[in-house]
Amino acid sequence: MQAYIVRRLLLNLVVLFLVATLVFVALRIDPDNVVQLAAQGTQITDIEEAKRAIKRTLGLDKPVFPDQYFTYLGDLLRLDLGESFRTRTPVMDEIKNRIGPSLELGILQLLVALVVAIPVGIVSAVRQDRWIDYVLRSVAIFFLGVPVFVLAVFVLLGAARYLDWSPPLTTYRDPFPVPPFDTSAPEDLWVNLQIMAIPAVVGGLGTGAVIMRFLRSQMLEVLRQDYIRTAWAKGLKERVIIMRHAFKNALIPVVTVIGLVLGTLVSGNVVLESIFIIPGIGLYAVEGVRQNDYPVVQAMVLLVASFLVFVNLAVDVVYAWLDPRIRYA
Amino acid sequence: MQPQEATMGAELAVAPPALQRPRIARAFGGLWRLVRRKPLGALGMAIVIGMLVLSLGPPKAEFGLPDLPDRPLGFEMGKPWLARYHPDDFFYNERGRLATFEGPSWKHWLGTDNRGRDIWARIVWGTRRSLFLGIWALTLGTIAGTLVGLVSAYFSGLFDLLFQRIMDAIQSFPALLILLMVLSLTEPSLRVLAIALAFVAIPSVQRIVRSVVLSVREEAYVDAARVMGASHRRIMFRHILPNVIAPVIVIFSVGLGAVILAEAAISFVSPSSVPFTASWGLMLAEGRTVMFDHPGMVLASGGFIALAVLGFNLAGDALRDILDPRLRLM
Repeated sequence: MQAYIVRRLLLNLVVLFLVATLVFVALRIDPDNVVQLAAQGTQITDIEEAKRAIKRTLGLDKPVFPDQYFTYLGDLLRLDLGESFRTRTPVMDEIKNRIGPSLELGILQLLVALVVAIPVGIVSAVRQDRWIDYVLRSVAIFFLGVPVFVLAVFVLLGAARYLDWSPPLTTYRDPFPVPPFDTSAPEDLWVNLQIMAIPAVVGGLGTGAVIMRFLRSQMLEVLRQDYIRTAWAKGLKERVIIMRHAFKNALIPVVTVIGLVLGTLVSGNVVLESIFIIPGIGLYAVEGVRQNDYPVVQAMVLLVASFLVFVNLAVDVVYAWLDPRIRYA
Repeated sequence: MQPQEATMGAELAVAPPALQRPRIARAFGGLWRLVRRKPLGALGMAIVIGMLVLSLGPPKAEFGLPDLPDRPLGFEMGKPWLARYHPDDFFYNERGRLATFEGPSWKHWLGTDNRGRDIWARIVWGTRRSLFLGIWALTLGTIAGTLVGLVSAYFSGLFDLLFQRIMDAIQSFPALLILLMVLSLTEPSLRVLAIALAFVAIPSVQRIVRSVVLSVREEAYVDAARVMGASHRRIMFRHILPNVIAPVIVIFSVGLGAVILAEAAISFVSPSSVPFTASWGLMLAEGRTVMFDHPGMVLASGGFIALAVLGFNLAGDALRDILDPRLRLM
């Protein structure tokens, strides 16, 4: 097992290196455009002067290989992600400030997803092909198909129209909100939860639908096993058979799905954060794109990609730990 | 008249009508079976066909390079037949003011938007943009992904290992962020968007193709071809590639939904980095500003995005069950 983890870690390093290289290449496809866009945002009035300044700070005036490439890799190794074109603050500091709300939203969504998906998946498998199964599955298909941002907008609309309630922040009335946004997170827990409520529930249900479908098919598989029949024959209670014998075994493959789902959660949160003006890293990325702030976008891509690479490793390790039959060679 | 009747009688004797149902009836029978067995899948396919019909318009004979959204197939496509108006036509009411936020009427089926444009027309033009963007992106992505998967699995070994790590690297980017990055680097253009979407689609396509090729590679007929002296290219394209067709069709239909969703999400999140033609995502973003007083724009655009994504998902699921049930757990 240790050998496996070490090997996977090394392989992950290779993948991260490739990720960094891809991002490096992306900027060099059309550097003049980037410089042009960046120069338009600076205080310097002479555009040529501004372009030269930008080129110098980005190091674009040196040869691409080896100078630029190794400077870039060296900066990454020192966790120096450069500084924003607009605010001139180091991107790393900004990320530290903004990671909190994103984590909060992600964890809340995962909680909602699990709380909904686990009971629904079990009921739907145990009552296979009864009316309740059909109802639950149709609802799951609905949440799988309808995109989170459409659902979020509709829920906002419905809540305002019929319940006369809106989340405390009103910035989302702004059509194309212009950064910088107010990024100070509300201190009051109750206000905070009110802001998070709709995105957490909407995003959580979308994720929950995926988990529920997978859990249901796993449960159906397990319920047909011999040892379940044995358990029935022994006269065990239904609750014990389903929870202790079936559910526990069906849960193991679901762990991998949770890992996969984390990737979509991150993407979904980019959208949800920008609808609800939650000052997390997703919103930061969107601000970066809207302002052509290339270092910010690049840092976000690197950050999220490396996060996902390690989540995948963690999922594999947890999987082996839960199911001792799995032996990674 | 007499001889003619005689020949008709002879024909009947040869082929009794019960055995030779007319072709149309057979087609309807197949359709009816599909509806009964996979009602959701049939619904999805109906939505997909509906979208296709919405986006079609009279072809004009100006051939050239394909360009989105108005020249998706290399020739200029005129106003969609079902659109009624141009998406950027402004309408005025009888007092000469811009007719903003009008309710549904015979003139404007879904009413008008915040700048006095016909919502139905914008929805229909947006359908063309979404659909053809998706088709182009997936065509490129599927071809590239299939080639990568085929070559990588066929030659295996160190080459395969290296290629798969590159694919891991691409896959570890969340699609939305990579698209945003590409768009922040370039001028807004649908062509760039299509290429970026294709790039994002490559890893998942190649993974499925690769798994099929890995098993087919060991078949006896592949060995036989090799023994007969067939070249690598011949074995790959003539003997192995046909096995990949069914999964690729399934990926294509499921992927179209995902691509349409991604385009809408990007237009919604960052309207300034996409071309400003009529688009569902842009309408949703614009409509959000006024939705509490005039929900029409949000309801129409959001409804169509949801319907399209749902439709492609359902159609893709049904196609998968029919064509290749092994893919179910992917």
